[in-house]
Amino acid sequence: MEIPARTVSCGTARGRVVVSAQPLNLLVALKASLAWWHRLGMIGDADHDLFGVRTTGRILVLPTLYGSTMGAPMLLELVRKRLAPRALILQDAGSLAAAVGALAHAWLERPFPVVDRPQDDLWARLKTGDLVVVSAQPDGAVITIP
Amino acid sequence: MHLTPEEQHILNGGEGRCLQKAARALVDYGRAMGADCLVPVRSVHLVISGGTVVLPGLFRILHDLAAEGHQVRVPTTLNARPFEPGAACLSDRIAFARQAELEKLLAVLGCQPLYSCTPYLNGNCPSQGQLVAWAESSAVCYANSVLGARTNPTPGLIDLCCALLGKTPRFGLLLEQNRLAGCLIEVRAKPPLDFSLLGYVVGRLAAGRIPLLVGLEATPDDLKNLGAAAEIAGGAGLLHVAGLTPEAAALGDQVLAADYERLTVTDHDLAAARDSLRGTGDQRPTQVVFGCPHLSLGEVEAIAPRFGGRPVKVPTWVLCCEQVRQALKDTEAERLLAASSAQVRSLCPVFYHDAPHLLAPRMMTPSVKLARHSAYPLYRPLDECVATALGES
Repeated sequence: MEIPARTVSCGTARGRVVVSAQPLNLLVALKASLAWWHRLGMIGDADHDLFGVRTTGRILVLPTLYGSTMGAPMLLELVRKRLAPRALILQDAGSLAAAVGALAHAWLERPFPVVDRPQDDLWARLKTGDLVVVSAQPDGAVITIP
Repeated sequence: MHLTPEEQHILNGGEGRCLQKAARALVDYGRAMGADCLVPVRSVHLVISGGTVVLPGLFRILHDLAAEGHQVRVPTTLNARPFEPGAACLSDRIAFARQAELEKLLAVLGCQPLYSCTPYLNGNCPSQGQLVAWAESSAVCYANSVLGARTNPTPGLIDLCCALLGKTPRFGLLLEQNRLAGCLIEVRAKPPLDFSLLGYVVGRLAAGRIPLLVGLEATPDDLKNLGAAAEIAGGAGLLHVAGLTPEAAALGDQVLAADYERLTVTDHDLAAARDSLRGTGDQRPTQVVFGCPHLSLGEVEAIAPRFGGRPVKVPTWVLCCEQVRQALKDTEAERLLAASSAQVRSLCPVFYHDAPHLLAPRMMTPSVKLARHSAYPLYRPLDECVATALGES
């Protein structure tokens, strides 16, 4: 099935999802994930239900990202090192996700697809491990569940 | 998005490849956030101030900018740094091995070497209605709420792009219609209040909406601590206090959006939050930290007599910006803190939990913000922190 969404940052990605209904404090989540090799790309916020989950190469499905403005350079570094999720699907992208999408395009010349406002309750439909395809184009995005 | 001929010229690469990238990022970011144009700002506050070894990509960008000879176009201050020159311990020197390189690059780009999370106490204080582009959530909340200036919470590196262009995309909190309160929170707790704890509860209750707080008596310093904790709990970058903050005072009930929700905070809510923040595991701190965000002169002068010149038993930091530290020179407060061996420093303890510190200190603090960033959350009310520092608990 195909679910329309809004494009925040262009690109396409195919992968297995990691789903949570809990907003993610980006800096708290990533503070250890760049520092220690055994935690690379891992969610490090003990107060989050994805604590300890590795998101590298996955498509992360969350309500939103929040917290310190330093979260943006941290996630950008994960994108640069190819340790980041392949794409973000959010209910409301917010400034941090929008920033990482824009910065990845401009400075790394690498797409980091971010979409938000899916026209369906993905949190009821998807569970961690499901396969999805995200296609985010300038005129709109489509999330495909094969 | 509407762009001026000058902005279009930069976007086409007319002023170099790096400035083109900065403009590209700013325009794409603005478009994603629903901005209609770029607007000039009075100042920028950058969050990039720690030369951590885990962000080589950041250094590549800064080196490229410096090599092309770009400079910031508006006054730009810097967030607090992980340590002061010449005062780094071994694990600092490992985790922040690129600190000197970072500070040199930022100076080359024309940033002012004012390192603090309270730029408004440190030479960068916008007035009511002025547009700025600040990062650092606690400073953003203070600028919007207490000063009545207008800024969105600007993500790291987007803040640098704003400084390089002297502009920011117009959306969100820059627009009057987006500054109305989505909820009214009645504070029914008995003073004296722990404003950091109250902020945490308010931030969680408001859940991303702008709150109007009623029934609250608070100083600007109280609102600084309240806002910092509200932001860490998911705040909106702005809060109004009835009769107190500029927009609430000017607009009265008109500061409320049409469909606002009514909520309350009681002593019971504060006690429940305090218990949830106490943390588990080893409760003995290796460090007691006051000043996240950095303390004002008044706050340092209020804390100093609590130590009464008695020696501390646990290493203690009292953190403030450089201007406050200069103002402290030769005061009674400085004498008392020195007699207690409490160190007045101008650094950011949050870094100790962001970097690969082998010996990250267990910090006891009355700041919910710092505790929330900590690997060993040891939030305690102020009295308990002072007693622990003095070995009296």
